[in-house]
Parts: sequence; C-alpha cells; structure tokens
Amino acid sequence: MNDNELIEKILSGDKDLYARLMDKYHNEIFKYVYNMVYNYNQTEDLLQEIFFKLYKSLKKFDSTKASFRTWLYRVSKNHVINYLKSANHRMNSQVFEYDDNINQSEENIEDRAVNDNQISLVLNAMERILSPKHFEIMHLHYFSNLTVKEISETLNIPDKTVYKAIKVSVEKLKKEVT
Amino acid sequence: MEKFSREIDEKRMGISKVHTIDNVMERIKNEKTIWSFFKPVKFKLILTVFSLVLLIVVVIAINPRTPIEPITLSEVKTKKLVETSYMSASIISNALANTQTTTISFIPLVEIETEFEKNIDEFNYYFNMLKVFIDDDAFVNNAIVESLTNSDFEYKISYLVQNKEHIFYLTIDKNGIISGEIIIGSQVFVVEGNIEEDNDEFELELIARKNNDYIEIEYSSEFDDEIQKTYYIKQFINGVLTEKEITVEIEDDEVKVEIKQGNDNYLLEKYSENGVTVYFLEYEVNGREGEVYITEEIDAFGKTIYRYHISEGDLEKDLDLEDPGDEDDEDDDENEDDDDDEDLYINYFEDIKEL
Repeated sequence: MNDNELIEKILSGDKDLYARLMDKYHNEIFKYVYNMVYNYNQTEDLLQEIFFKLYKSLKKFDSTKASFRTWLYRVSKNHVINYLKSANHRMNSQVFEYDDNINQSEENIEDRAVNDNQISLVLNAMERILSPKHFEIMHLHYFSNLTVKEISETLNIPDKTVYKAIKVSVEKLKKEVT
Repeated sequence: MEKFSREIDEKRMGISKVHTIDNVMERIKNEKTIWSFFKPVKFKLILTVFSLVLLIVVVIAINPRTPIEPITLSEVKTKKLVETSYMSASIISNALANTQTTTISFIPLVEIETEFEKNIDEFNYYFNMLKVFIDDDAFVNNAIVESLTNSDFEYKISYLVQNKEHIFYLTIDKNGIISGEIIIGSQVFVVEGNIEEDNDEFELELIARKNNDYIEIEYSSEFDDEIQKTYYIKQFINGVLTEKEITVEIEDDEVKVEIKQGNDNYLLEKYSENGVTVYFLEYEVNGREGEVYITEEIDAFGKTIYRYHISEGDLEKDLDLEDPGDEDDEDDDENEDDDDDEDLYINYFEDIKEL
C-alpha cells in the first residue's frame, strides 16, 4: 500500500494505519530534527508533536500538490523553525550540551565534538546571516535527505530558485565560517 | 559543501520511534470527535442542553440587539486586514472608475506592436497597485488602529498609500466574522468577511461591495510562510465576472509578483543590479510571450523615469515612461506635438484614476 492509499484508509476510519506511516518516516524525520535541535529528548517531543499535528491536518493533505513525504518535511520544517525561535528552545539550549554529551562516553568524543561544533557553527551562521527563506532552503538542503526537486516541492517554489538560493547562501556561509 | 549529519545513536532513535508511535496513537485514540458526544448515555443530556441553547437563541433573536463580542486585533491580523482591504478597495474603485469613463492609454507617437503595449493599462494598474508590496510594506507600517466606543464599529484602521488615506471601520466578532466599511476619499465600500486561524494557518476572506458590484478576496497563508502571499480575487463588475490570482513573494532583496488571469499571466521581479533597481517582467498575454526589462532613473527634473526594453518574438523595442505613481504630473497634452522619434514619450498615466 502506498502513502496515498494508506492516508485514504486512515481518513475513512482505519486510524491504526497511521502507525505504519509513522514507522516508515520516523527515522528520516528524527535525523532531520535531531540535526537541528541536537538533543534526543527534545527531538522525541518534537516528533510526537509533528506526527500528531500531521494526523490532525491529514484531511487537508492534497496528493496532487505534493507527496506525503515532502508535506511531512514541510510541517516538520515549520514546526522545528518555530521551536528554534521560541523562548522554550532558548531556555533548553542552555543545558543541551551537558545533557547530550554526558550520555555519550564510549565513542571518540573529541572527533564527535568537533563535528557537532562545526554543525552548530554553520547552523548558527545560517540563522544569523541568511534570509528566512534561504535559511529554510539551506536547512532542508543540509539536514534532510531531500533532493533539490523535493525541496522545491516542499517549499512550493521553483527548482531554479532553490539552486540559486543554495549557491548564494553557500558563498555567504563560506565567507562567514572560514 | 556536503550534507551535514550529526552522529546518531541508533538505539536512542529506535526507543524514540516506539515512544512516538505509542504516544501519538494514544492521543489519536483519545481524541474526541463530534460523534463521541452522541453516545447513548449522553444523548438525553445533550438533548436537554440543545433545547436550552435553542431556547436562549430564540430569546436572543426576539431581543432587538445584542452586543457583539469583539476580538482584539493582533499585529498579524491588522497587517492582513490592511493589505487585503487595500487590495479590495483598490481593485473595486479602479474597476468602477474604468467602467464609468473610457480610459484608453494615450500612446500617440507609437505604433503599438507588442502585447505588452496593448495591455500596458492593465500592467500599469497592477504595477501601481502592487508597488507598495514590491517596494516595501510602507503602508502597513503606517497603519493606525483605534478602538471605537460610540460607533457602529469596534475598530478604525487608517493608513496611507501613495498619500491617499484609506479608512477601514470594522467589527470582528469572536467567530471571526467581519463587518465594516472601507472609505477612500468620497467612496464608501461595504465590507463583510471572516478570519480563520487554525494552528499555523491563517485565512482571511473579504468582500467589498458597491451597489451590485463586488470584489471578493481570499487570502490564505501559513504563519511561517509570510514571505509568500497569495490572493485569490473574484470580481463582479457591471455583470462581468473575472477571477485572478496574485502572488507576492519576498526573498532576500528580490521581490516577485505574479498575476494570473485566465491564460494570461505576468511575472514581475525586482532586484538590484550594480546599484540600479531593475524590474524584470515576463508575460504571456493572448498567447504571446515576452519579456520587459524596466530600469528606473531620475531625470534632470527629479522625475522618476522608467526605461522599458521590450522583447516579444522578433520584436525589440525601447520606451521611456514616467513613474506610474507620480501624481504631480503636469498635464502633458501640450507636449503631444513633440515628435521625437528617438525618445518616444508616452503619457499613459491619465488612466490611473484617483482611488
């Protein structure tokens, strides 16, 4: 059963099938959200909110306009960006380094910290220097598994705009972080 | 630059999956639907409450007037109301002005060759109206909201667009139903509509009427998507129904306005090139496609001049036109005799009527 058929059945009353949709996309969205918020507990909370929100809006889903996957990314992207802007996130982010690093002990923590710090640095720069639209594009480009075509579908903008935004933003980011 | 990926603990992710699915499914199962109220045990109670509500409604209906419970106008609501009321009033007043007087562009020295020139009135009208979106949100920033006490309406929103005062008197009840009036100069438009907010979504519908003519505008956006605004417009003027869609997209220092009407469409972009503001228009009108580069310059008299380079099929053409929004224009009739083939001057602003 493909996504559209599953959704049709869910909407006609077979709610349990929603678990199958969540099962299918959980890990992909988890990685995307975690890359942004860098905290397991917050990622889990956000995913629960995203999937429930999505369920409530399922009847609005229009498969002729976008695939379920890109729609899921769209909702997730909006939800995470809202969260990142929220006071709640700012409060939580003061403790996130302690919270997550303390749980990782057996791996090469130094390498990991360098990688994580770099990502946080780029993310921070993206938020600071890019326009909101470019931020959304870059954030999907770097942290999701979406192709340019899928990003354009997710954001409902032409491919050309996505390519252009990536090019311009990468130039800006290079200047900022190097 | 490659994609970024933080290292993820697969075990944590697996646990999260189980938690997420359990939690969401639990919430879905506990979610109340309208039908859950109609369980047999509760039916009698519901029936009683329903009868009481019905009784109250009847009593209220018998009383002459009940005060409307107003809502507070947030910044977001005000912004949308200002933009949408401005669009409605501009379109309806322009449409009415154009049906009352014949307003054909005055292009005396040019042999009209391109679809762009044939439809320059329409482009000019949209360009003028949408310039506030293209340039900046100037009119939104100057909107003043006042709460009214001794008035038929709860609020007065006033704002200036191109030095014209627009006044929007309105009441919005707690169900989002809007009633009001838009006043521009001596013109009054009766307005009705509604606002709906649902999580991230915002929908606003406004109908402005004058006698039998009306403009219906539907605005819908997600709060996160503020950079793109889409208006669906249905206008019924002099018995003719037309529908169009206007999208305004703001991205960095670029602005795009797309207007679709039937098979015709205009896509106008504004950007900066070497410090010069450039407007680039792509159009498809009456089955013909074309492009126009528009640059703006200030002439020796301080007037804004728009230079148009039109390409349509094999045709290429240059025109210089004054600022469509420039209301200080002298009447240029006396200049009609200026036969300067090199620098064609078109006064096409006569048809931009006062709102």
